[in-house]
Amino acid sequence: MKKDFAIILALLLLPLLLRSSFIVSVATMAVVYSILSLSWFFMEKEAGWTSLVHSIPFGIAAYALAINPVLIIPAFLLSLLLFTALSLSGREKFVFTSFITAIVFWYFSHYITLSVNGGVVGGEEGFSFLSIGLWESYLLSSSMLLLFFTSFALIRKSGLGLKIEAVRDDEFAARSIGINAFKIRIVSFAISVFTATVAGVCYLLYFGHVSPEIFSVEIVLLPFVASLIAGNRWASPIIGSYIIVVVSRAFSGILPETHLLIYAAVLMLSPKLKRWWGASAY
Amino acid sequence: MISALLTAIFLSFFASAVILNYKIGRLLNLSFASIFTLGAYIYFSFNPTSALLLALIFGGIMGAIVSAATRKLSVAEATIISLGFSIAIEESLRFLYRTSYYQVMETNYVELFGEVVSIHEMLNGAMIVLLFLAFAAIPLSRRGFELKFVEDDWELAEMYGVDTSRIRFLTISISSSFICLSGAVLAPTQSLFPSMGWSSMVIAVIIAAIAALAGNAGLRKYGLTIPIAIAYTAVLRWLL
Amino acid sequence: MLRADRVRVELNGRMILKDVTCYLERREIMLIAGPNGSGKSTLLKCIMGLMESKGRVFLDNVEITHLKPSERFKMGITLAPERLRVAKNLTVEENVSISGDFQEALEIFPELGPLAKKKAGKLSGGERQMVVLARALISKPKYLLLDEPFQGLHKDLRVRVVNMIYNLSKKCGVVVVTHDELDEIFLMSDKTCILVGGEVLYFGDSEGAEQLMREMFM
Repeated sequence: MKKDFAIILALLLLPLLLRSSFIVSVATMAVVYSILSLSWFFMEKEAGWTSLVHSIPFGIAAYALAINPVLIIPAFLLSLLLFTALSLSGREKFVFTSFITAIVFWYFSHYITLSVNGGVVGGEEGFSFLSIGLWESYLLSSSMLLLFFTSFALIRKSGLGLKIEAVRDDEFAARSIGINAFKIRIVSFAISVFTATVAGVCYLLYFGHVSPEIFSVEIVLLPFVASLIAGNRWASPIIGSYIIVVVSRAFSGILPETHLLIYAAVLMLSPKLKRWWGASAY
Repeated sequence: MISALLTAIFLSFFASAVILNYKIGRLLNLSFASIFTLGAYIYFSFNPTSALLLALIFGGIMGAIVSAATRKLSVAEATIISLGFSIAIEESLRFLYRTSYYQVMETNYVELFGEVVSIHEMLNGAMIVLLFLAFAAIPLSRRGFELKFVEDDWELAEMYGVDTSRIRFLTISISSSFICLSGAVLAPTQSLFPSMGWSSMVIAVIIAAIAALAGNAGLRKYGLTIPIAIAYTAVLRWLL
Repeated sequence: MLRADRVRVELNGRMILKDVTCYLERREIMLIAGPNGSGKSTLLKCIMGLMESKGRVFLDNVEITHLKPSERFKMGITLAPERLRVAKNLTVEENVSISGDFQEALEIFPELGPLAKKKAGKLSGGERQMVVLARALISKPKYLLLDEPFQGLHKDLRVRVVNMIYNLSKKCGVVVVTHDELDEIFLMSDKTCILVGGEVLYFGDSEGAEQLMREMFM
């Protein structure tokens, strides 16, 4: 864990040392997506739920903040309710029910409009919000990333972490020793959803604009792919997010589909990658 | 009304393929989204007759690859792999064609029960109905009983001499082949873009999920996709 | 001869079966006994090819280790699984017909006649067990693997099934895993295999196992 922390710290400090606006802009994007991927990784590795719906808390938070900051709390609660409802179908079905829900939400997000001063805003165009600036965004997102990374390490060592792991490994056995498995499931979802919500807030504060693309398949799959390409450590989703952002930036002028082809390859090889990373961890 | 009915039949066909793959193949075959698109692009790349044949062949090949790649995996893992295939096909089409375009075919119109319908749409509808009937004939075939058994408990079927891996392979390949063909058949009435298959895919999954609530093995859940798809298109017409 | 040779199963880092070797000839009965969790059902699944395992399985001196369960069935091995396993959404007739003629099943269990069109999922435990046994018996196996065949059956039916196993052994090899009717099955068995913690504690002629069986299970 200390090694992971050192890697992340180095990744976060590097752009500050180089002091290039371009590098910081790329790094900010990577950090925001890292928070999202970390929230996904917590739910996958710690709680044992593979989600393809993290785009919803991420996107709803950004939309809520853009429309009215008061809506952030209902947005968080709505996402948590959605996760809980989807989980009722069981761990295995959660994978595809969550994916279909995410896609349906993407379609409907095109119809989110508001009537402002007699005109209609939103829809395909999305909503705008005042960006806090590049360096401020970077510092805010980096701080959040470090905060969540440390918090997750502490949660894992706490009694709550052990309970979450017990429910992950065997829900029936956990119940037999007095653990309220459903409550623990909701708590683990709440932690993950809250982290994704914060990632959505950081996203809007940096970009200053949110559109339906925040719910797209790319965002749906990003945490999954990011967490698989760089191993099975707690730093993996963060390193993976950096790789995806850097690769898509590098190839955006030559072959814009590059990162999606990488997504496809990772998805197709996902069971093998999981086993490979799992085996190399021992 | 007639075109809505034809849409409903197509969605019902798509949903049935989704159910069949889920029950027999033990995966939510998301590659259908792009295999459908592939069929549509094949139609615009070749002359109509050879396009239909090529769509049938390419769809089958894609299905065979998906089937082989998802063998002996959990439902979740297999579904994720099929999603990978879907994205790979979609991005390859985007790379190869670089443009999306809308093709308007010249056609004649006829009046049917007071409604003006294009002949092209009628012909496509008839082909989709034939495709649906061919698809529905699979469970009624000689192997239908084995199929029913595999749907209910594949391990038990395997224990009693049913080659479940062969049935799985054929099911995924044939259904992919039909989905690709339906993409080619419907291409003249669609606007073409690499992610065009996703809207049909998502609606089909929702219809399949409602129909599968019937929960039993056999034909009932496939039959149920028809009224659900009709209800869906009726609601859509009413909303729009 | 049906032979399991050094069969080993590891699941999540835990050894379920440790190099188990046992065999039986046609027209023999083999009892597999052992406490809960000793790997008895797992051994049957390995012989049937339903679980990934190390080691080898032979049928009449032909190695069948790499064959699929459906191919093993066609070669003459039938497993009547535990836990009253039926295809719940299929009728009784459909459940049985997968392995042979339903009329033959009615000769074995006439009780199934009125239930022919009933969904197997709606049957009682005893009725389900009859479906499981009938389905296995009409497949005319060379070797029949029975996993807990008395589960859910009342006393009269248990006696009938015990007699059935005895009669079957005149035609084919029968492997029985059971906790019930242990005395009767042990008395008629030719070979006994006692598993403890996934390891063979005893394998050989049943006469030699009497003392051990009395101490452990009877």
